[in-house]
Amino acid sequence: MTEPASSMLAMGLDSPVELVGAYALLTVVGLVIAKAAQLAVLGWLEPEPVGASAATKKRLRAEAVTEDVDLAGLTQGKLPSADHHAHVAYLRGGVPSVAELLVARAEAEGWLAELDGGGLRVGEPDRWASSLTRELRAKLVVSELGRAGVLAAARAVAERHAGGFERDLVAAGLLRGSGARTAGSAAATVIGLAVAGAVLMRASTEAELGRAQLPLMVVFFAALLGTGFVASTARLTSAGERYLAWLVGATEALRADVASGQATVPDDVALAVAVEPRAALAGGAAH
Amino acid sequence: MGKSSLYDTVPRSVRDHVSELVRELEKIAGADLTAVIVYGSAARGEFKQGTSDVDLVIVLAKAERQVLERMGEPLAVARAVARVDAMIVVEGEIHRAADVFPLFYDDIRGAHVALHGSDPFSELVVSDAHRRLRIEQELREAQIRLHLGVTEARSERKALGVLVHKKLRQLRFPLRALLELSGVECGFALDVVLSRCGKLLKTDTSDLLRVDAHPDKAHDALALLLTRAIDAVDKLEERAPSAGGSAS
Repeated sequence: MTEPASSMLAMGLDSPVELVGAYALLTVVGLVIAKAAQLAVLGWLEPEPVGASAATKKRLRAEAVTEDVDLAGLTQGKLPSADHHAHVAYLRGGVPSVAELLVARAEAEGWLAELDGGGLRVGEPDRWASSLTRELRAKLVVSELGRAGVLAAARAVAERHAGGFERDLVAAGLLRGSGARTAGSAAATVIGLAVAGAVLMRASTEAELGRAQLPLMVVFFAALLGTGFVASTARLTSAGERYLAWLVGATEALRADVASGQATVPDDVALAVAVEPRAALAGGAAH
Repeated sequence: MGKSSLYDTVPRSVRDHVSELVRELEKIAGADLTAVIVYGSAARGEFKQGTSDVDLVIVLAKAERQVLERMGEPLAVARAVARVDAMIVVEGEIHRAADVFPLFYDDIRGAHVALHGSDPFSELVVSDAHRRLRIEQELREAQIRLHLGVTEARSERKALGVLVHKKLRQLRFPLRALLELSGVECGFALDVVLSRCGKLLKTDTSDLLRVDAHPDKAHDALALLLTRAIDAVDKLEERAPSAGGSAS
């Protein structure tokens, strides 16, 4: 028996094709285990969703970072109040979504008005304006400027509060904290890299034996890519995904009314823009 | 087609949301939930998906703050998901309020469906004298607000158009009531109401159907229509001055 043949038989493999197939299968199984490990870690670290118990609600109220926000309101079955609109926008799309929400709300409050040339005229908010839009107004020092300039100022306001939104949403069980995301990714990465390492070692052995190692190197790179894909952790928890999906369904008529200009009350506009990007709302109006 | 079948023309998804709301209200108010009545376009078979509201009257035996607060959440969701526009009344007050809400009650009595409980509106008596007073009040209020609205529009054509559109929507019911009180049968469609009013009051209402193209002409036509409508309702008072006019 020749050496290559004996080597393959040592693994119970009859041909190079079977060898590559076996390592490809090992990679797939390894990545599935990596994903399962990641989900197990996230499930263990994810906070209990809001509304699960009175004790949880009490804890969430105590943990709320943003002033006067009762996080128990961020739960499926309840429409978020004005205090929660920025949280919903942050949950959906982070700082850019909050910035978009602030501009839309300021326009609905009436102190930010679109000019014919596409720019925006800056007025004075009345006493009903929200604290966040007042903060935006304080950043606008000229009476007329382009939408991009207003959005940049709104982003600055949103970024200032991003840490608070993040902590509130993590406490509400809707967003994954950076610690949980890191732990979940690390679990998947360790397993994925172990699998890729095993493939690389085998490819190296094949090279030492003077046999073609290219197919195994392809499997190795596929394992690395797969590990990167599997290790990426979604921002939202499963409860967060369900909550956003419920909000989209529960605001169907409201969003259509905002898109068509039928609903112009600032709270209605803010909720619609928090749930769905403004461009999508405008698109809805066209249909 | 019966009233219930007309409500059946409302899309299933919308009716499902309304049914879900009624179930929630039953859970919250229990035996105090006397009736849930749907009226307006959904009961008249004129519901347009994507634009029409679902008008509801929720009748309670008593309106306790705790119950009303708990009703807030399902009502807010129903409004956001299916444009449910609800009004909450106490059963014992319905008959007593017929003198101040005659047009609203006429609207309900014209077409409504009981989704829960009894129907407190079918036996209601509304007098013509109260109808006439309410029509005059709504027309005069619209006239005053129209004057103010023109000053607030500050010569902007678009703002003037928005104002005229808004006033026309508000005036549909008092104008229709004026027609009925004058013996003219009329449906609920705004263009029909305006056209019949134009004939009754001998004024050209065609500009009111072209508000976006000529908001200034539409405003002038509306102002003239309002003046003549107020004159007409005043004449009705001269014809039947007593508050105990015919009831229906």
